[in-house]
Amino acid sequence: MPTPLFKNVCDEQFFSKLYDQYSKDLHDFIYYKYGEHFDPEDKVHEAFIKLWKNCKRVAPDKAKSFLFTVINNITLNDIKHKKVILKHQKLKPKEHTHETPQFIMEESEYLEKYQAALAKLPEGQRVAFLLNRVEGKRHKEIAEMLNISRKAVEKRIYTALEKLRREIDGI
Amino acid sequence: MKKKDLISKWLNFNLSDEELETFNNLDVSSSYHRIDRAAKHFKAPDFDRETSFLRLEKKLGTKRSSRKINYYVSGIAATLIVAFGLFYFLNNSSDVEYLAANSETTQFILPDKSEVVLNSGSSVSFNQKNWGKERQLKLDGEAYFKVAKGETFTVYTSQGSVSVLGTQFKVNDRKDYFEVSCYEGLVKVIYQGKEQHLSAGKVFKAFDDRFVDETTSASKPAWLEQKSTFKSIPYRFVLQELERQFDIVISGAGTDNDTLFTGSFNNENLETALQAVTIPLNLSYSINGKNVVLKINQQ
Repeated sequence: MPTPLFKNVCDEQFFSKLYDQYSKDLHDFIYYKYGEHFDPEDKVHEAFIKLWKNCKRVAPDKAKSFLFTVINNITLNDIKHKKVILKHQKLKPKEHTHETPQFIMEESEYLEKYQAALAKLPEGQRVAFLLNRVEGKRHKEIAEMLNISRKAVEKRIYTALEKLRREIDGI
Repeated sequence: MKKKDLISKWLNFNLSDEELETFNNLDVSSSYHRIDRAAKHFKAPDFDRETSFLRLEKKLGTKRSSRKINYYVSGIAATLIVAFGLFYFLNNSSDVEYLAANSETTQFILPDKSEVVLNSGSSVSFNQKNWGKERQLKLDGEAYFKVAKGETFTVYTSQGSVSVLGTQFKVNDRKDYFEVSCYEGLVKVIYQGKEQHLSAGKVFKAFDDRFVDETTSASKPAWLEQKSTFKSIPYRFVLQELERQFDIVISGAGTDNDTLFTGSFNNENLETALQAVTIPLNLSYSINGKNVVLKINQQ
């Protein structure tokens, strides 16, 4: 086990190291969980400002769970039951393949169904699924981020995949 | 394997070639593959840690600078100021030097986020400009390193060099004494042209033309917890460490003693520390300001 060198997180260098380590995960976590009603970066900043203000009371090895808990609470206070929308990036027509207009249309219909299906997923399943499929994170990493067991992560992702398939295929 | 387990394994990027073939033969596999491919379209917006941190610093703004003054008063941070001061006034190139004077320790973070703690009477210097290209630094004295993953990280000393890929280790380079302890991972030690690998829990010592391989069960140097420990070390080196920890000068009996000493002393209280090292060798001490004189007890 690595041992912490700092008593608390008040050291500026240590603080910026924490930012380097966790800011992207926090950003992605909030985006995938709650969609894009607000700027996820803003929430990351708010969480880190809270951490800085409470730096004397946070031990280095507790900083990560502090950040994830705080950012989740801040965001919950903010959104109050808005519908989740994850923007899908516009499909760019590829230059080297010859895609028929019909193919392009089908593809964009598919993404719309996908988007709706993602929105229907419970937050916990959506965030685990997207961190896994989009960010390529392994079950163990996600378990550490969400502070749940690896088995729970596995179940969430599997269930999400099955739900998406049924929803999209219209079963 | 059950279908569900196979799918979960696929989701965790863990399938062997054979298993992947079984997976691809599942009736649902094409739906799964399509869902997987299309997931990339929902990727979160790009996030750049560095520019984002600059924006955060702006928001923290004035509150932070007032706090700065408060905590720079504390011992460790104060030594950082000294180090930066030297850097700005004495040295115009991009060499950075960190110092820990006698009876102090200094901790800092390198540009790649590796952590370093310097024990008393030690210094480290490195070129900030070239750091991105090659992670190498010069050490005079003793330091503990917690290295961030990445390219080779090398510590040069007057007696030998130590390279790692990412691990926790300690280097102690003193006059006529050289020691490397590896706490995690694997380090490569080059001492007098000879190469040696140390795995976690291994210690390499060299002094008086002797080489010693030892093991340690510690996970970090004792001095991170205000203790100095020794295992079969010539007595004079123990006294030299005592001098650095308390910024004193020791003279008299024992200073050229080569008796091997095993034990420890506390880095916070001089009297207790002196007792800890003198009693076993039947010595007595007298303190006069920064000077300590040792005498052999007559019985």
